[in-house]
Amino acid sequence: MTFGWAGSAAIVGVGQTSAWRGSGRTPQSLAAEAISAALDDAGLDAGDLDGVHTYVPGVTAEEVATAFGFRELRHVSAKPMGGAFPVASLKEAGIALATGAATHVLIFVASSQRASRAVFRAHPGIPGQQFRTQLEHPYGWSRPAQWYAMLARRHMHEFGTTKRQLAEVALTMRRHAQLNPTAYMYGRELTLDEYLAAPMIADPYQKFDCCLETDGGSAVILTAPDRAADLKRPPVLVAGVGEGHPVSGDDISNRPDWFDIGLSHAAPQAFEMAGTRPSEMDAAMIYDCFTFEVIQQLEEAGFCARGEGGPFVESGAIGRDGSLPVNTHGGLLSEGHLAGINHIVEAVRQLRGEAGERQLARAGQIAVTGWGDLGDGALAVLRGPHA
Amino acid sequence: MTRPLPDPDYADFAPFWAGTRRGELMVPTCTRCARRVWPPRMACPSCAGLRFDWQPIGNEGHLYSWTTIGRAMLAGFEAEVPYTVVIVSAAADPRVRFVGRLADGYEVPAIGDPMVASFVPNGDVTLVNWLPRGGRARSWARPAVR
Repeated sequence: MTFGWAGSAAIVGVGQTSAWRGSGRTPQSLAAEAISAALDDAGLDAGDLDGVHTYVPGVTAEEVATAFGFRELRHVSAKPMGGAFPVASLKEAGIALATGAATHVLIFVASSQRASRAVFRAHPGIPGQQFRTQLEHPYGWSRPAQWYAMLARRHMHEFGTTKRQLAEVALTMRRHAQLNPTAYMYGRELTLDEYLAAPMIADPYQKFDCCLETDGGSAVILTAPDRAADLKRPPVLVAGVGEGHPVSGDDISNRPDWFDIGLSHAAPQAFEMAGTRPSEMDAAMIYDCFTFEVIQQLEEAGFCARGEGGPFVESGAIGRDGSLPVNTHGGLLSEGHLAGINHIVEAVRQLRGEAGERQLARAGQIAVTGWGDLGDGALAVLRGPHA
Repeated sequence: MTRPLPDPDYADFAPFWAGTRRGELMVPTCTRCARRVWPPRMACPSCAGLRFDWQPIGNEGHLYSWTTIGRAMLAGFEAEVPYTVVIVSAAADPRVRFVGRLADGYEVPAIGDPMVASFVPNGDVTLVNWLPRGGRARSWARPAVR
């Protein structure tokens, strides 16, 4: 495979609000705080930005460009991939920078709980609406927790994956959040007993198998590596990135290979483009919408074989002292839900050596995954100055 | 609020709902390559054919996966929790899998166990619930965590 945009993009600025509930703030206010912080981090003028990649539905590129006084908005893109949008957008940014369609690209997500509830009543971006409303909703099967619970249950049947292994994911994310003062779950530890006693949402998912819903904003700015050299922070190279879609991206229940997801196709592209492999990663930021999806993505990205994800997490491998530290910020399960762009921000902070108390001893290259809709996926290999 | 119901006149799926009214599960079959295409799609994924005949696939299947829902997330289901949604692969063609409800009053059978469709009229449309063949009546008040 050829990757004509390889080496074209570096992350030069990141900015993020804290994760809150009931902030009373609008997505616009949260977006502005995150974008402003990312510009400060990069040492760029807002006027220099000319490309915007936005999460739909949400704050629009036009609102941002007008409010921040872009000299010219030349390139707008929106990938309809749900939570895979931020990582997949790193590819779009690379293509835009490689071709000259844009010189400085902003990717951002901002949402407040009130807005996200409205989104999930209708979830207009989900593919195959007619299948959802006509064949699934009448039976009360309508939400991601319920969809993915079917994947988890079948995995338990085929491979012997256990509830204890799902718990290990939840407990590890919560432990990691205790080192992240901006995490929603900072200062709130979770025990196995509390995990097991929580209300059932969609068996095997109980409350703490499910990600948080929080208010917040998060932004990432990219430019070409040669321009990045003049900016404030050491650039983080997008060494490899791929997007993928499951064989039946419009339907889960009739997926021929039940465990095939977008990531199964995205990961090999990204690792090939970066000239590396999963075992070379110093950490991974995995889109942890639900506990089992971490196990599934570890398998499909190639960190372990299919069926071995449960024992892999149970061995302690994903802890910060394990062979593959996962989600050192606490993830969507314990930091906050910013559609996974917070995973990119955490990877950048680790790669620059700016992660404070939770800094990993070795952080040269980190894989970041995204997951959205009915299993769309993306993976990026980010490479820092200490690779 | 009442549960969301399918529109039995939605053209692409209407033969399915006409079938459930008669007590038959009907599936579109590609006229060019004979593949059964479920859910009903705009073209055949095997040969890109555009024409389909609807044919009965039989009313039997096997449990493929399931989830027992403990918290209602869709209006109309508040009084139904806990309830179990099942995915059942058709006995005649396991590539075809149906989403439906486990009939109330039954324990969740083991994955792979045989199931049979039952047809439940609900206003203008007849929905499909699945019964475990030879299944046991549920003996617990709430679903067990397994």
